[in-house]
Amino acid sequence: MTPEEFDDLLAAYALDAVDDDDRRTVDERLAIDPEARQRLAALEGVVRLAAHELGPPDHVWPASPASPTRDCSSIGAGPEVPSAASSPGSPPRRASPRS
Amino acid sequence: MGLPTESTDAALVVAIGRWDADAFAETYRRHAGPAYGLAWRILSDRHAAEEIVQEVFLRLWEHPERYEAERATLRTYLLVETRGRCLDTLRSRARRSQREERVQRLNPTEDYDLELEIWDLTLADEVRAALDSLSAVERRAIDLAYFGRRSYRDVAKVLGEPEGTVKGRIRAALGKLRDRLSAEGIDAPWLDR
Repeated sequence: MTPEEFDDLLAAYALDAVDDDDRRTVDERLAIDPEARQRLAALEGVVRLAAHELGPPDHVWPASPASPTRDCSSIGAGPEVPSAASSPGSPPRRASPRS
Repeated sequence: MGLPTESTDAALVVAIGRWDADAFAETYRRHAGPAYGLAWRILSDRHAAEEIVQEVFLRLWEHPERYEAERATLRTYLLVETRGRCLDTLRSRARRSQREERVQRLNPTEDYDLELEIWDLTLADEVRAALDSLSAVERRAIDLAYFGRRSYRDVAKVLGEPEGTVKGRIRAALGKLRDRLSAEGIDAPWLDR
């Protein structure tokens, strides 16, 4: 793997977009290469900042797979929990001018 | 309530009180990102940050009456909730590792809300502008990998492009974001806090 290819892989790793084999490759290199660790830290910092605007990944959306429920036992009437039909099936995202 | 996307935050919270799932979704769309960014920044742990965001928004769903519109904006309320839960997490970790000193430094001060608001406002515009500077193909690769937790190999399959091309695009996109944010003075000092 060329240095260029490794840095491409490191960027994907920072985005958590690698499979187990690639992750192992990067982890082995990071264990012995402090400069690679520094480059990774910078990349992860960028991803953290981007998360501020992108929002959490899809699986964090609390309405999927299960809709949030409320304990209304103290109120008396039964809870009107959002049904699967009325709940959004995928997480809402901020509008992207390019999407 | 009319369309949730056209409603004020206060109206959304009222609607959430009536079990309106669409209002909840709109609230999440507007505010989950900054909450997630803040939690990740404090905890330096994306998985823990995801749990915090889930907790904060489920709490809003279950107890919308705890938000008092006259005291703070909804964004500030959610960020304060997020930060409080992060501090709880750090305290819990510190008890285990005897690192109370670090947590003490992170305790809320009287500038608590103001600090959060400044942090939020400063970042929001700059990060949005940086993301908008990406090309459509770069943004698509980032979105597919980030939101769907796909590997770059899977993203390449979805896009029908070589893996190396997608990997290169991800790197180029992150580099562009870094350069853009750095040019605006948002770099290491922000990341390390």
